[in-house]
Amino acid sequence: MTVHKGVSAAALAATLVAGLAVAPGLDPSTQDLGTTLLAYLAVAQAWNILSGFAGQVSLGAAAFVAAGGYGAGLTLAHSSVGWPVAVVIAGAAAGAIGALLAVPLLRLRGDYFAIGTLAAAIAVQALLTNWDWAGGAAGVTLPIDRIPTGTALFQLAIVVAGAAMALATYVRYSAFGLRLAALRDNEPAAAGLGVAVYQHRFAALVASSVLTGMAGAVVAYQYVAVSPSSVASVNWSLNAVLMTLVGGAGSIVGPVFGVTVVYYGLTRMLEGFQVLSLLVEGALLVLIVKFAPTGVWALIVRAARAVRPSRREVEPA
Amino acid sequence: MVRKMVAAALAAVTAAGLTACGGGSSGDGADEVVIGASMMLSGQVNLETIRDGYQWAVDEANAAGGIDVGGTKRKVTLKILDNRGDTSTMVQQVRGLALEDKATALLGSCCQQNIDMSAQADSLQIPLVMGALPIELRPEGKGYVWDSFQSLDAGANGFFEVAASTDTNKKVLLITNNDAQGESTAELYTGLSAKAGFTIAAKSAAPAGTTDYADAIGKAKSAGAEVLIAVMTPPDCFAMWKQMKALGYAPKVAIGIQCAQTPGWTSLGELGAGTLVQMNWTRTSGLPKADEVVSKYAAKYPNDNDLSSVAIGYHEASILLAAITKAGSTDRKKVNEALARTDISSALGSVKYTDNKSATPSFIGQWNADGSITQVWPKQGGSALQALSGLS
Repeated sequence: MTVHKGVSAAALAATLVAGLAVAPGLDPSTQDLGTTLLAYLAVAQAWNILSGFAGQVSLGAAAFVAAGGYGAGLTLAHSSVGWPVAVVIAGAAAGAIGALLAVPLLRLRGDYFAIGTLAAAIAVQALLTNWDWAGGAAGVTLPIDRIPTGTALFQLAIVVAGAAMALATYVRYSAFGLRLAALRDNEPAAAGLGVAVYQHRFAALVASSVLTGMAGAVVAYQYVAVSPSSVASVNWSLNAVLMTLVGGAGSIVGPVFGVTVVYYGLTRMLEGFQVLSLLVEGALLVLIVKFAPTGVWALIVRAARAVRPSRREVEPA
Repeated sequence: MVRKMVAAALAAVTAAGLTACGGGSSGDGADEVVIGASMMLSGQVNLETIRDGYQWAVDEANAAGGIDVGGTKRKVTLKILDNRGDTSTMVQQVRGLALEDKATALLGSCCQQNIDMSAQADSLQIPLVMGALPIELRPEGKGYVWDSFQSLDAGANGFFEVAASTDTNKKVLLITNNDAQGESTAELYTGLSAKAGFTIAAKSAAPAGTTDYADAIGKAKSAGAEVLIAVMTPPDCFAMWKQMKALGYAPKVAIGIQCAQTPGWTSLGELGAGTLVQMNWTRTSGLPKADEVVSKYAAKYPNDNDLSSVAIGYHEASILLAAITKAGSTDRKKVNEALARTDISSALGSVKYTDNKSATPSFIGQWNADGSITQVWPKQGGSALQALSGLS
């Protein structure tokens, strides 16, 4: 496990460095698409940490994207601090919201937790719609001269998505992650062995919230404006679930694959056929849940193993 | 695990590669001029009327051999994408149109989406010509957004003139959504009502999505308000009109701002008859192209409300096409500078921008029981006001 962890960390670091170095040479449309994909990846991977690894299925990602988006947007609109500081504030704001929501939400289990998080996301959207200082339903337009664009925004997205991937890698291979997995698979047994249930789930929820909030800051910078219908849309929650489940929840690579398939393969390629895109997304989700609950990536890995049966590897749950 | 990381990197590289392959066409230097639009064409709001107006203007230009750009006739390609009313989809589509399709300029959507789209236009420095958003609500920007729609002020004055011509006690129930448009409209109508001799006897502001208006209706009945001004999203308005009927509240004059302007108003049937609506076009307006709008689209869109939206679309697209010709280039900055010098007349009258805004005319119409709308203000071209029969 230690070797795997080291190789994974090295590969991730190399990919990050390569991405940051290559970014300035890409054309603006590629940078923009990359920013979008990486923002979605960060949100999906953060959801994966909470739901895939820790087993707390959440429909509340939108609340944390909103907290981060508004955290960064309002900071820039109402103060003179720079955008990097606003990203940190976005993460802190989302983490604080996550910590507050943890108090009632972590008392819930299974479907009730999912419904509770959905209610939280809807409540946050309603709150923002009625919050005058945050622009109400119209939202807030960010000061265009003070937000990162093009290369800088793409590089920020690489860093945020990289942080999400790094945390997922840590959770996958650390003792902390093992305890989370134990709670996911059998909470009474894990608790009986001394795993602190609340503390572990609290840590997973807050860490996931912080990452989602930082992704929200990237989204706010790309959108140049934040409003309840954009960064607080419940679609963020649905996309996080869809993208991760399609790729494979509980694996590090699953969200990468899911984001590419769902956003690039469906949303972008079928942008001229919106109704068809929605239908395909819905059908894909049903098929995945029914026939490949571990996600498409796991199917590919299994297929690869079938071709090379001598190379055996234990798949993560 | 190494295999997994390599595969992940491959997936990312593949995505980037596919993107690089996809982004090639250019609006400048090529034969065609590309104009983009991201609109609500499915979901709760359907802007196919405005889309038809855009397409009509472009088809007309192409039928004449294209538009003159620097002495050369160039065909216009209008790329319209459906964003389903989802803001994230709209943002991604607009950025794709600007960065990948290299559109020369954009045409707008409607309502709050136009505000979000404005930020994109200013950020990407691509001209955006839009209507379907009250001019007063357009936020200050960096000068790449051009708005021509009716002035709330002119419409409000028209409404009070109509209301004053009716025998009422001049007591008003003012009910709005508590969003930007609701609040600014409430402020405007409150100010103008005093000047017109009306009193706001009852006032209420509710979040969009409210379904219970019993409290507001109760306040209006207690205050004896015979005039109703509602500034609400369509579903809210529909719910309130039904509850007014159920609770026996029957004002003598009522206007539905935002909501009565939507095609869905006809779903109220008889209940909506007699309600007033603000418009920026009517078939009896005497505006340029009015007869052509009717002859080309009346079979598809029977009432003036929809035809008005077709006229808006034609108007906006005509402004943009004229600016590209005036710029003599598809360079975005030059087109933007040309837009500032716009001086044309189109389907909604003359256009001259001041601070990026050019107000269109305002009319007050009245819904009839058969789903048609009759202009009642201004009197020129208008008919006599009918009783508010739907709620009585």
